Amino acid sequence: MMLRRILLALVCCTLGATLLDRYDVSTVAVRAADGIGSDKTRTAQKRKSRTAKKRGGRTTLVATLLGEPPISSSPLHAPSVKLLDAAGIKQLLAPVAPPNDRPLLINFWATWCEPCREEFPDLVRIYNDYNSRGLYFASISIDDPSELKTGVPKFLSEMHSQIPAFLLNVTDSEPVINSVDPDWGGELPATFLFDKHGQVVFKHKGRINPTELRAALDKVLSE
Amino acid sequence: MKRSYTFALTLALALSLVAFGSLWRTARAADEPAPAIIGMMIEDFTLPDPNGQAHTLASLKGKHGTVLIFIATRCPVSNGYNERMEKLAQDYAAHGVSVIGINANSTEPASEVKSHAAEKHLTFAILKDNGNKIADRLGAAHTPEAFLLDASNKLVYHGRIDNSLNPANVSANDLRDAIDAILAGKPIAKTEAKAFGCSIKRAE
Repeated sequence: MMLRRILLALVCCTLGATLLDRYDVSTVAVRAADGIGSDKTRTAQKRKSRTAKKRGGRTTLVATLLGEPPISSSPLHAPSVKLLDAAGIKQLLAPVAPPNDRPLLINFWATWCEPCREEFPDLVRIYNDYNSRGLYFASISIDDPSELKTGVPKFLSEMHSQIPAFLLNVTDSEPVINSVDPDWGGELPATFLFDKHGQVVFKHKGRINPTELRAALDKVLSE
Repeated sequence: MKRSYTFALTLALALSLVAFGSLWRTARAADEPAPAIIGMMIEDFTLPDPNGQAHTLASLKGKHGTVLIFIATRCPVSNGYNERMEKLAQDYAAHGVSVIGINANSTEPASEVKSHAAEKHLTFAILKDNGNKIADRLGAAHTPEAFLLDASNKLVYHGRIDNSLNPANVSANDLRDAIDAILAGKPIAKTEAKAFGCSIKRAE
């Protein structure tokens, strides 16, 4: 009898957490569908902020960084790109406490990198398919920081990408490369999938094979 | 009792092997070349230049050391280092250290490598690694990526040329520091250093 009660309590907690997550996901979808910088978008942002507060401050930087969709007032509707320094990378890779502990997919790319550009449509499709299934996804460009408001958002706009976008702004790339994966030499493109505990469960250097990546995502999201 | 102990031990061993295999697969994808190991001896090899003439490492090596740099014609990072690579070759030629460029990109034919070198005024030897044999042997993954061999062809440094694509922001000349160290007979302070680059487009 007691065991049944415990199980019932656990199921209720799980359902509650799932609904809370779905609420966040739906606000992201509203903002994406409404266009960029609209009143509805700002209202949705406020709702998200209130949701975060309701969570009692458990929303970490990762959730804050990746929970916000790209927003811009550019006439080109270019996605907003945030500068990411070494501390930001560290926070991005840090394990997240429940209920925001989700797998994290990171793609390193650059506008001048041909295979990066070639694989981007596949990544956009993957983001669109898996975002609502509880995946954090960050695209990190290593273009020159001078491309923050020009080349990088222009390319992302052409790709119709809503993937949270960052531009690496560090004086030395080596610590970043090593913090992501000590076996990585720095070649682009490079894609890394971390499980919700922060462990690398899939990595690929060079142009991704979408089928392989989707299989890895299905596996990690089912765990 | 003894039988159950043996069974438990066998089971634990089997599980460990499975776990190790899984970790190994996670750590290294099957299509990734094995990384270069500092201290390994690089055996002599033969590669053609863009005109098709074959050269051995032995015929091009420097008296005191050799720098192999995997380069590209279309990679903006590699192209950002053209002047620095040429200067490196000129600066160290008199010190008995030779620079050899290796193009292992299957997407960049020998004719393009030849015209690129002429256009960018690259005067050091450039070889075409058709089929990525040498790139695979060294574990080269991107461009530009340098491998410094000492006088006996032992790998003593591997990685970036320096720490910034923008020459104005360079604060660590890792490759030059390593060359200076072997010329001075001193240990190399940093034997491996990383930077972003373009992946080598390997032959299918």
